[in-house]
Amino acid sequence: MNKQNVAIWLYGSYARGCEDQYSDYDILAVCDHPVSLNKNELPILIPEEKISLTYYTWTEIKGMASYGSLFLHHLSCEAKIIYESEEVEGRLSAILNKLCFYKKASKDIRAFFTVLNDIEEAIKYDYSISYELSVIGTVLRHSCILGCYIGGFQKFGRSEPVEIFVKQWGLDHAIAQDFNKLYCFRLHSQRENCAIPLVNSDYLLLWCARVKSILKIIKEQVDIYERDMFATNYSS
Amino acid sequence: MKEICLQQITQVRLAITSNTDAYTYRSRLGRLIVTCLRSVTKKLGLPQPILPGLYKVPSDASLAIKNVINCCNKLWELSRVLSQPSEPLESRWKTGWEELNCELDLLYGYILKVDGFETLNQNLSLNLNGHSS
Repeated sequence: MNKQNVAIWLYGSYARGCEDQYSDYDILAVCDHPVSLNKNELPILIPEEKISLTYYTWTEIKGMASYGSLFLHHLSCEAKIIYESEEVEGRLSAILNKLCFYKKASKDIRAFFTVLNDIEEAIKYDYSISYELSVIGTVLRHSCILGCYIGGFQKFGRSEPVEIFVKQWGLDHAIAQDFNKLYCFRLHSQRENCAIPLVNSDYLLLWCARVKSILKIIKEQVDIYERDMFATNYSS
Repeated sequence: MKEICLQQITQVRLAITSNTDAYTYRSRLGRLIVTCLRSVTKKLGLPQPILPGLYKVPSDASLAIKNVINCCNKLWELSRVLSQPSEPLESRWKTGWEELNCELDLLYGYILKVDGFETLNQNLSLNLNGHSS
């Protein structure tokens, strides 16, 4: 691995100090040529099988900063430097310190609705309920991360964004309580030590309906948020 | 099932060419992979996978089925590069579109060559431009 222009950061549950049996070490590597990156070549002492590696190029990171990527906001809240080569010392920190507000919220909402519509179409034929539930779990978590962000709370943990959003909006507590069961399907796709419960299509339809109702709330908030942001930018 | 697999290939293409969102690309590609793998494993009488991922090619499978599985494995590897666990970037999907499209072309052809793929028994006509009616 070429260690020039490389920054390696830790984020996620290990960075927050709230890891559990299902946690991976979430590692971000930023470099010039990501295709040459291998987990076993990273300058860190973590077992390869415990690493969930995300890599971006510096150009991609700058592109993400231009729209205030929620992932970069996530990093700015909790990430810790593991290694930075001399040439790029402080470069990522400088980018994270100047993040703008997130500009793709309404596009995300449209995408989440599209993904839910795809699920409703897919279940008319032979389908994998586990896959569809893993997708719903991801959409719900990311929707709530966005909902919390819009509401002024930056929450990026596994279940905390859902818990906070449900509480903030006075929604059915069962959504937050059942979320960990739903998210098992997502975790199982990453780590097979997370067993998945036996469920049927009614369970899937229940979650589709729940997530759609949450998305409608977030969409209303996003519309207000973007109108305010536009007004702020226009007036300044 | 052949029609469903072909329709899902079209859905992946539509998502990318209509510039929807990387979330949609990622979920549709995952669904395509798991549907294709479930279809061929069902035909072979093997347990159906529940999630997309790398699948070991059975040595006694026909060439057409081996090609489908190999193609799904290639698409899975490709999707892991295009779609990072944290944030799927549209720019990366667009950069990788040519390679992805080639694999989708291959998969489309391989699926057509699989004999005796279970056909739909529902009163469904599929328009391969991406809509069901």
